Amino acid sequence: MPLPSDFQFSQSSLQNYVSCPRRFELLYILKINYPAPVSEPVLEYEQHIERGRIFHQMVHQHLIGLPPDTLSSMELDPILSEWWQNYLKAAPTTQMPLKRCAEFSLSTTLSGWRVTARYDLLAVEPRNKAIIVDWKTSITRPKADVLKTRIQTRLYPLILVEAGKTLNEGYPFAPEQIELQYWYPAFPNHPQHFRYGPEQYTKDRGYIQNLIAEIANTPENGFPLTSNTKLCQFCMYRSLCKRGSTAGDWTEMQSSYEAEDFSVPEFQLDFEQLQEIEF
Amino acid sequence: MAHLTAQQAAISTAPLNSHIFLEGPAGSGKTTTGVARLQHLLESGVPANTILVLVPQRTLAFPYLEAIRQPDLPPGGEVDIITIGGLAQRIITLFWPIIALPAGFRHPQKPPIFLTLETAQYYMASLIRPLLEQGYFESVKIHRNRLISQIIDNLNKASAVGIPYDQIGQRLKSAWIGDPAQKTIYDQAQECAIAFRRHCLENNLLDFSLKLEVFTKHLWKSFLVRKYLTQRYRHLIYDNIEEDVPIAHDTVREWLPEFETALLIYDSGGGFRSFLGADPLSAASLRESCDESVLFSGSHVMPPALSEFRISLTNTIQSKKALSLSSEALSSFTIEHHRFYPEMEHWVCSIVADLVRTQNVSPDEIVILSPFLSDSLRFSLMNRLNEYEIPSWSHRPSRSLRDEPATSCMITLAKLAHPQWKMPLSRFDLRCALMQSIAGLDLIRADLLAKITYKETKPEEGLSSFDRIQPAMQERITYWAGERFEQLRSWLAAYQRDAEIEPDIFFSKLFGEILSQPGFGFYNNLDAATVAAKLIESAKNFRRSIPKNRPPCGNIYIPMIEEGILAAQYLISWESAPRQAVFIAPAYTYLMSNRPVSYQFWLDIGNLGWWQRINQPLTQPYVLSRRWNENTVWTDAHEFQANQESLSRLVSGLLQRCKKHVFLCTAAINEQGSEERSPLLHAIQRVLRHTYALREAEDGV
Repeated sequence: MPLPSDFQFSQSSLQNYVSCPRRFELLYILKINYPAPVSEPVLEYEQHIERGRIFHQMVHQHLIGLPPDTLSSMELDPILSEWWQNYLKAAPTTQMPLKRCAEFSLSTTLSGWRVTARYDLLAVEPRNKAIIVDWKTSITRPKADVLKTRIQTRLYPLILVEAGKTLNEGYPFAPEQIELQYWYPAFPNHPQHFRYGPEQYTKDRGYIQNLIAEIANTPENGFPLTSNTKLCQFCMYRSLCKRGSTAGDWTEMQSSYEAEDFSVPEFQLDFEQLQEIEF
Repeated sequence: MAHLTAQQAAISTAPLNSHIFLEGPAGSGKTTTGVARLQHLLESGVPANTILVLVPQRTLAFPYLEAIRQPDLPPGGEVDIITIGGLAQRIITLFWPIIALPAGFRHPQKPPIFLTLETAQYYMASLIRPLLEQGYFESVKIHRNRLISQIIDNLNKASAVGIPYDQIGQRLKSAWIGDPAQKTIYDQAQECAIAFRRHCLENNLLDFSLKLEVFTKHLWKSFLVRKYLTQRYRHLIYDNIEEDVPIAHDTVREWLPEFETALLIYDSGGGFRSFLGADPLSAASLRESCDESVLFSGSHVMPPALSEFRISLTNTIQSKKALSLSSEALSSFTIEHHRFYPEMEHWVCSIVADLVRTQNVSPDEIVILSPFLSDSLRFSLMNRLNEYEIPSWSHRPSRSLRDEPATSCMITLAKLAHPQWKMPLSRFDLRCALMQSIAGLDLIRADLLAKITYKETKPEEGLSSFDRIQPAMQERITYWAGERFEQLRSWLAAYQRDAEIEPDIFFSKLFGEILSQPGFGFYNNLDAATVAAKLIESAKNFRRSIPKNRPPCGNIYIPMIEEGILAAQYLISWESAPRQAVFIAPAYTYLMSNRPVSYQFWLDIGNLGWWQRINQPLTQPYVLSRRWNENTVWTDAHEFQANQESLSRLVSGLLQRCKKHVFLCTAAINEQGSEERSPLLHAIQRVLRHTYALREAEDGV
């Protein structure tokens, strides 16, 4: 089955492909909703994800001007509260350019397909520099050389170069004007910085283009299962692929960074359509 | 970009300071123009993130969603395509810390909980249960779930129109002239609505109505929020405004001067969602707020012959002068009569098969429509089409998950795993669950297993082991099935040794660890997986919407599903609908997909459901609208007129979405076994009588 013509790639879908092509096929092409647990204990994992969501939301609220005191008065669990206080104390955005775009999406076309990136924060000084900030709410902090190979690290600066001119007075950003920063509320003093440059840009562009072309040209049933069977512990399709029955421990999943972005887009109910109900 | 007419091109490339009101009938190219306008804005360098596309319902957003994913679009930000309800939820979430207190929520320091329709129904059911025991709504002879949904509907309509939620009952009463006891019913419905709203404010719960109210009454009035919205969005495309609610129109009216450009698109024959509060007149009034108004006419969809039929039929329904039909118009539709309903279904499917097989019509160019879609009709049509190997899909908003065999199976196994719930479980339920659970297990063996291993009188003992069955019987059941049964039984027994868990997690583990494993019924069964996913999602939504720090909620959740209060969800979302399949749907659901097709089949046109509105003893869409004069009473004449108008709008809307031919099917004895003759059937007969009488006169017969 070919990709639908309106298919959009993202860092998450590309990372899923790199981790397991079959998973990409099941999730994005065949759109199979397979509701097995992703990891155990389910509630703890869910709480962790929820904590991350709320942290992102609070930073967004802070960046659009809601008073920090008001945000601090919200009831938070101890871990989230510590993250939030770490954020306020470290004030990671203070030294950044003043033009801020939080939860901002950019998209471009590569190898004939639309590719999109959603940035937690873009701090821009037009015609001079742009800092991409991604809030990382994992409980571990991976090493720089692991992060460097992640699709997100390679794709986000690339898309900013390709699609960011509306943020830069109509001029494309030069790769050397871009920096990517991963900021960890659990490790506030140890953010990871990646400077971008023309050489990396050329390399990344070629890599992503090839990856997309490879996916687009893969025939039906041509998506192989991952050889890293450890990942299957954290995949809801494990029974469909005959790769086990029980989910792995989520803390292990966190320590293996490779698995963290083996992420599952939630199959949300379409609440708005529910208004159509027959009364 | 699609090939545009000069008029379409002029609008799509209008200057970047224009506010245009575009109106015209369905099929006249309005949405194509809207999409072209969006593309033009992007190609002109307008930042995509400053463009807001508003639609009243997600299905109407598809052309725009498709457009922004095309590879030939320039790089840049992302356009927001959203409904007013979606926008409200997004903004409430973002500004909750500063708005919760002024909006009257009791615990502003805690996060909001957005209710789905089903979780709202759960809360409403909990609130009205004691009242029902006191005798509330005693004289109302409808299912309790419909009572609940109508009270919620009242709240939704009131917020959509701008009526204070505590004045719903008064408004309904003042329009009523029948049995005085009905006024008590309205009072009771009002009392429930007030209790529900109070409960929501006490517990940070936001149903659809409160979401709209908080957005329009509080957030939209906040300087900070308005600044955020007006700075963020500089360009507006608002399509199908006639299907949106007045409160959305009010917001847009106030917002319009802030937009650099705006294109408002109005379908002059629309208003199909009026039973949900849509108000075409309120939408039309936005014309005055635009600098320019453009009228499209004609149709790029409907051929002239069908157009002629549409005009004649709607004229007849509206009791205007009947128009006779030309030969071309007469050949644009077929009337097919059958005595019995199944005969009609059979005929429809055989014609569909002929169209697909002989005439190479793509199945997605065919729709089969009826006023309502019962489970049996849906099943029967899909089965027959399946026999012809023609793919089909159906979309019925109110279809309940509890009727799905996969859901019943998981519920039965949940009861077995939780004897402490003390919920009744019959051998029949167990037999069905075993057939679903174990791949290839037939009815006889499933029945034997259920009979031997489970005692209805001692449910606490659960299932006994296959190993304890006599060898001859084991052989009859087969060791293969016995092995699977033992795996299932052991899994349930192991589960019971640990502490109870939340129902969604239980279902998810049951699915992942047992049912979807090779040898079990859900393995490689994607339909069952989809149903399981919906059930799990429903249970998860339920768990997240009720207070934390409590025991697992399975014993509350399961009865709610069995009563049909919960899990009344879509089985197939529009996004995941098969792309090349015959669509089977209620007529209004099809209309709201706004997707023209070549062939339409209208089933049982003698059915009164085509004309009359369903019985809603607790609500009244016309009285709870902005059009209603509070000093007037609702009479039979109003009812008749409203039904006539709605029928006329319906048939007009359907025909405007038909590219080639309509099959009008009648059954002398309908699905329920009675004989009905609807005003739709009468109107068609009048058109034909008039046409043939005229022809005879012309021929001098």
